[in-house]
Amino acid sequence: MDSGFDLTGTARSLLNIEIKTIVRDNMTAEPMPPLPHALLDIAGYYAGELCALGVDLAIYFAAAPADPSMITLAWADNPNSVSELLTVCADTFDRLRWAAKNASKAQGPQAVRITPAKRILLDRIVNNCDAIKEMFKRLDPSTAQFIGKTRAQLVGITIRRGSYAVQVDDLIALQKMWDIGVEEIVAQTLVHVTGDITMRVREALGRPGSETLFAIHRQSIDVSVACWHYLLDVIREIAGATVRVLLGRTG
Amino acid sequence: MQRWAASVVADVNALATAWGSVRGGWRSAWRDASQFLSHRRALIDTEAPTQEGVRVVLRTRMRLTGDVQTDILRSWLNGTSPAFVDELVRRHFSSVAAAVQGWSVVPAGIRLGSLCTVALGIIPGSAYSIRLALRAEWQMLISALLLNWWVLSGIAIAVFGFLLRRILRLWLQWKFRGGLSIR
Repeated sequence: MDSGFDLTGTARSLLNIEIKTIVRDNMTAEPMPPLPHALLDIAGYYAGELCALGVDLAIYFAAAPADPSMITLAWADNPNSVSELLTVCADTFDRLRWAAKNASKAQGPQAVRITPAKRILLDRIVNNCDAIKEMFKRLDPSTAQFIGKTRAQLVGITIRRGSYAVQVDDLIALQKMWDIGVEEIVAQTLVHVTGDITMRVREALGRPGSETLFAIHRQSIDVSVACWHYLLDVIREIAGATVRVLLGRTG
Repeated sequence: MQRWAASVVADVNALATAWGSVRGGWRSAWRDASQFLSHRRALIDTEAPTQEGVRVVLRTRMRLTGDVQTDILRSWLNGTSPAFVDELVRRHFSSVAAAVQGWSVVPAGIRLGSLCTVALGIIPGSAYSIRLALRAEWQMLISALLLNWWVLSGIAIAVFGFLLRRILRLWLQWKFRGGLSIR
């Protein structure tokens, strides 16, 4: 399923560590499904969130116009679901991207529902949709069997292990998007190898009563920083000489 | 020499730590390492009783790319005493640390395995060479050594020890490229 893996790129990404804490309403143990279903899951999460914000997504998924960047955002109290219109293709993510982009920069009384936290979420939807659109350009011809399929059409197909190939880096990015979904990240800390630390916390985390949550995030940072060298050591041993130059000391 | 000795000590410590890990010794270290090779991340769940029964309340994903994500179940966080939350969080992150430490068993094991194999080859051969050097003529030493089964096998084992690390690295790279079975 996967092809090629850039160990040097992985080692380079380890020069920073990013620690995120998320509070969820549900936690399931299910693993990420096959690629086409995972893409539709992500599209479904984003479409659901945009509808929950009151964005009328149906006009973005109407047959015309072809260019979603030209569509004017419209709000609705109970927007129609577009889940049956979502397909495994770059166009679906392009439409979601423009809907999120327009909602993010919307002004006026309807836009009061876009809180600062939701604006961050909309920015994430825009960025992830752009990343997925780029992934589609790199997809192996073996994935052509899924392109343009809806969930209902995919259900009728038996997706066999190894019947398609995807770049590993793309799978890792996709797994992360699928894992996070549209959950709000309550605290995020970026630790650079140079010693720079950037922490971003949700406004609510600064209020009384959120000490426990903050303590959990702090423990997560402590453990992550303490374990950082194990990650580097593993990559250094697997990748060998090339990566050792990047990471320093030889074992 | 000092760095080499420190590296050996660090590798022995890594194996010893994995042996006494809170997650259950080398077997769990190997399980964590294989999960890491397959999925390029560690996934650690901690369950606790909630109003809906026993459920996963804390989940940490530590990805090889340096991305660490901790998910907390909202209903558990809001409905549990801070003291119990603190205790469970402490235990959860102990497991996370142990799981990631388990990964270091792989490189430490490879380095020590290679070193021991080289030593296994060099020590008997060297002992024989020294004994022969003390007894035989210097001019005869090389030819005597090359005709001796112990010396030849020692050289072969030592070369294999040097190659072992490269072979295992290639195997790991192959496993790594063939992993990520998330489909």
